Amino acid sequence: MRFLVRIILIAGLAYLVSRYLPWWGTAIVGFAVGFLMSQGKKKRLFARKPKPSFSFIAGFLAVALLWGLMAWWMDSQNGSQLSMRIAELLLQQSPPPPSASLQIVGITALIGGLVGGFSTMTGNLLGEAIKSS
Amino acid sequence: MRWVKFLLSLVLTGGLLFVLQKPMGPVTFSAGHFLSPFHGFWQNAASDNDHHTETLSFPDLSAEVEVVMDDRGVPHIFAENDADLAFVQGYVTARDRLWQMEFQVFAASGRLTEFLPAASQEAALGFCKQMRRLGMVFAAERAWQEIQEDKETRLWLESYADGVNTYIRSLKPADYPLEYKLLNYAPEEWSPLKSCLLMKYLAYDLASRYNDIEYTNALQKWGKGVFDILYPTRFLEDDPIIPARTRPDYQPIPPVQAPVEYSPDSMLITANYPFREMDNLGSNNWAVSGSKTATGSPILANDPHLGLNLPAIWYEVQLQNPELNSYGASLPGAPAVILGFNDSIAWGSTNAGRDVLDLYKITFRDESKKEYLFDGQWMKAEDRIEVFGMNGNEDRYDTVIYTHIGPVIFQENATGEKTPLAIRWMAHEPSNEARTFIKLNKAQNYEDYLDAIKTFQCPAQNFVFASASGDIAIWQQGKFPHLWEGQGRFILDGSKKEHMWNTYIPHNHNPHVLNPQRGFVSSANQHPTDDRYTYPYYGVRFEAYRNRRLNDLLGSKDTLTVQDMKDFQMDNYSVLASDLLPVLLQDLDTTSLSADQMSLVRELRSWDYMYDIEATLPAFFEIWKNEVSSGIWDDEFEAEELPLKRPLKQVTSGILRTLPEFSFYDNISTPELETKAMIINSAFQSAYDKMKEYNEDPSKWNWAEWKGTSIEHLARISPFSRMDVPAGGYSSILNATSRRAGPSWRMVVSLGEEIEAYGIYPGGQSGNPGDPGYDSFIDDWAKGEYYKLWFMKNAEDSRGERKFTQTFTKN
Repeated sequence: MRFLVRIILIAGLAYLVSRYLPWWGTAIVGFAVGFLMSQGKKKRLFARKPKPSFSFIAGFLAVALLWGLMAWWMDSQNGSQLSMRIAELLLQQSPPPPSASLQIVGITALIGGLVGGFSTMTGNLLGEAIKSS
Repeated sequence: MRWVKFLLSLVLTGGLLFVLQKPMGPVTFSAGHFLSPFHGFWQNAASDNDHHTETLSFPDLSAEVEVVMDDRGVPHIFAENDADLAFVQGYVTARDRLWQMEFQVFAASGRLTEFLPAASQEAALGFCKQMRRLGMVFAAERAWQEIQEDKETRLWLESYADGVNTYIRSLKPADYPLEYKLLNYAPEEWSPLKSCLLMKYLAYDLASRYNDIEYTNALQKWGKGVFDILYPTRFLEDDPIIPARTRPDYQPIPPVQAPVEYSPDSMLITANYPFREMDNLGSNNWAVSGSKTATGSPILANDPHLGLNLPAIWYEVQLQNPELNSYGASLPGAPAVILGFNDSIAWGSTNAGRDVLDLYKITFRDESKKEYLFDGQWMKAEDRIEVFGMNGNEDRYDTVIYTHIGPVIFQENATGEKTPLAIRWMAHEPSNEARTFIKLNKAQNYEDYLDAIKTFQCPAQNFVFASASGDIAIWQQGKFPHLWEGQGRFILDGSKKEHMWNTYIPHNHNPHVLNPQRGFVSSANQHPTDDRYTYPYYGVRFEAYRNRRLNDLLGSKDTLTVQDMKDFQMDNYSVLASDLLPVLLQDLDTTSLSADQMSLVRELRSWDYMYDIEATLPAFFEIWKNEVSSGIWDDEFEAEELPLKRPLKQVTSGILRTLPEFSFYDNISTPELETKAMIINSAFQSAYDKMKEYNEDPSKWNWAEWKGTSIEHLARISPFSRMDVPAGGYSSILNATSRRAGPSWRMVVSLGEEIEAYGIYPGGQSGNPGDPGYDSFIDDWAKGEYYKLWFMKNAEDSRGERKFTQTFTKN
């Protein structure tokens, strides 16, 4: 349950921040939430102190889901017109296979996930380091 | 330990963000930005709910403007005055075509290296240098200076620029057209000068080719006798624009005497200035008088053949205010309709193709090149330093010397010295071409049309005209020097006053005809006149086939309909093949042919000369013809590394048809003496082998497949291009669809009480590869279909289908 709350928190904040900041605004969100997660014990906001790998997974899933679902939704609205062209460009396959648009959605989700995962983990580790010193 | 973990993670994260932010290696974009669904390419994935009926407000407007977007994405703009109309035209054009508008202007001004990735910069740099040496910006600056003297044109250009800039300022990086994201740059401010640059780009495309260097070399190499056979000024069958024996309605000025001492420069020029050859550019237009149409009112047709690109060169639009109501093809980057009609008249154009660029040998006083000789005096030359931004790499420079003749290019001569040659180009003359189109949009009759075109200078066009009141006319309009016989065919002497363009042909002495006896006017880039026209003029490469077919068709029936016009535009008959094939077959020795080859010959004998999509004979004929041509010319033309121009195809065909013996038939690299028949027979064999290699089965020599028409993205991004579009026709055929060029806007307008108009172009209204409207017309275009154009009477007109309506208000 708490895990889910964290994911929703990161995804929701990233969604809001992306409207005003460049793409790396998502990394700031991950970093901030990751940091808060490490401080969770006392404030009872996050009851159990998660491991750094746990924060990575949360950040990864949050942003991967956000980016992946957004991309998937936009792609279906567009009838894959654009994603097939981008797939041809990025995958250097002509004509691209029918699954190409899903691959592009997947790549989008993966890159978003990595940004979310690493930034959340870094924020979390900073919190841990501050507490321990 | 925890700090170490943190630092390690920080470095990893920082590294990741850095890699995703910065374009590197073959990746031209910022991957994080590009992939982010909130910022990158996903934002360009169009959906049905992107645009909707809404009200937008702009302080620049003086009154309300209504824009109806129809189901094909054509904006119909209803304004109260010119300024508001031009503003909104700029705004909506930019909304659909911003990247293209800017790209074309960057190309025109030689600035492509500023945003292209390092890998393609070197190739682009050569092109950019050409544009700088041609003085494109210099030409546009002079035009803009001239235009500022004319209130009306100035208002249109400035309001249009305001509209474009208002749109650009409304954009966040997430809203930029896809190509900006892919190449990682941002749009610049628009300006009236940029519209002028676009006009000059047309002049470059249509009126900057010359043969001066090649002709000078050929004359040197082969002497006048052979030269006149290879490069005749008239062809076997001429069918000029102005019907033969049309009497002039003016008193011609006496001819200019050629200077006695002039003999074309005796120097061979070895390094040609590498101008892009676009051999298949051309166009058709015609107008039929009411006496020859089923409705009793004139019909006008136009199809300009230009390079086929995406986004397409044209953008359909309707413009209306109390002073005008026009519809047609506009150029993204310039106000008004360029080819189209209004409620009273229709107009169209084809390229005149006359030689309006001459080269002059310059004599500098010394190495410093600060002074040059002219008319017995030393004149001061000016330097213009050209800077090439290199997208993060170090800037490059080029110094261009300007004489009073024009900018100087350097050519190497046979001994390796550089020969300075100055360019005298009509596009450098101060001019206001935009005025012509604004006035045509408003024209009501022949007099208005004449007033509109009279200031048009370059690129000279054959402006065809028809009015609802029943007039038809055609004028070859441009500014042309009054030449002495032969002037400008060869390199001229820049130190002599009598070699300059000293006077010009008066505008009303340009070739023209109003309501001719035969009931139609037409042009297809051929010779404008017969030899009764007293002013010497030269073509870079006048066409000699489409005109003949077109005039035959127009003369073939007493009553013509809109459907006939469409059929003529889609006509795939090759006059070239009908001229030449019988001559080739005559000399073909059939005794040595295989059974398969004989059946091919039998088919060729009964061929209807149609280049239809499924036809199997055109591919073979084209190769055979090209092999014959190689057999005649290759040995002589490839013997020396000298810029030389091969004779035009109508000249080669004329030689084959009229000269049984000719020194060029012999292959100079073999000891035997080759004959015409030997060339034709061995060409047949090698053509047959080549086609067999292409496909064993001759029934699969599908013309459209073999030809492979492709409509390429302007920046050559292949997933944004449409390759192998199945289309019939070819160059020299009315349906002039070749590999990379073709009918870029097919239009047929039937005038009268009620205007009935049809049109289509190979592209789509949207410039966004993520929008279905990007290439939605292409399939219909290839099939020869037309859209009925919804010429709205007013903003309430409900005969057509609306996608959405937008109201632009002043706050």
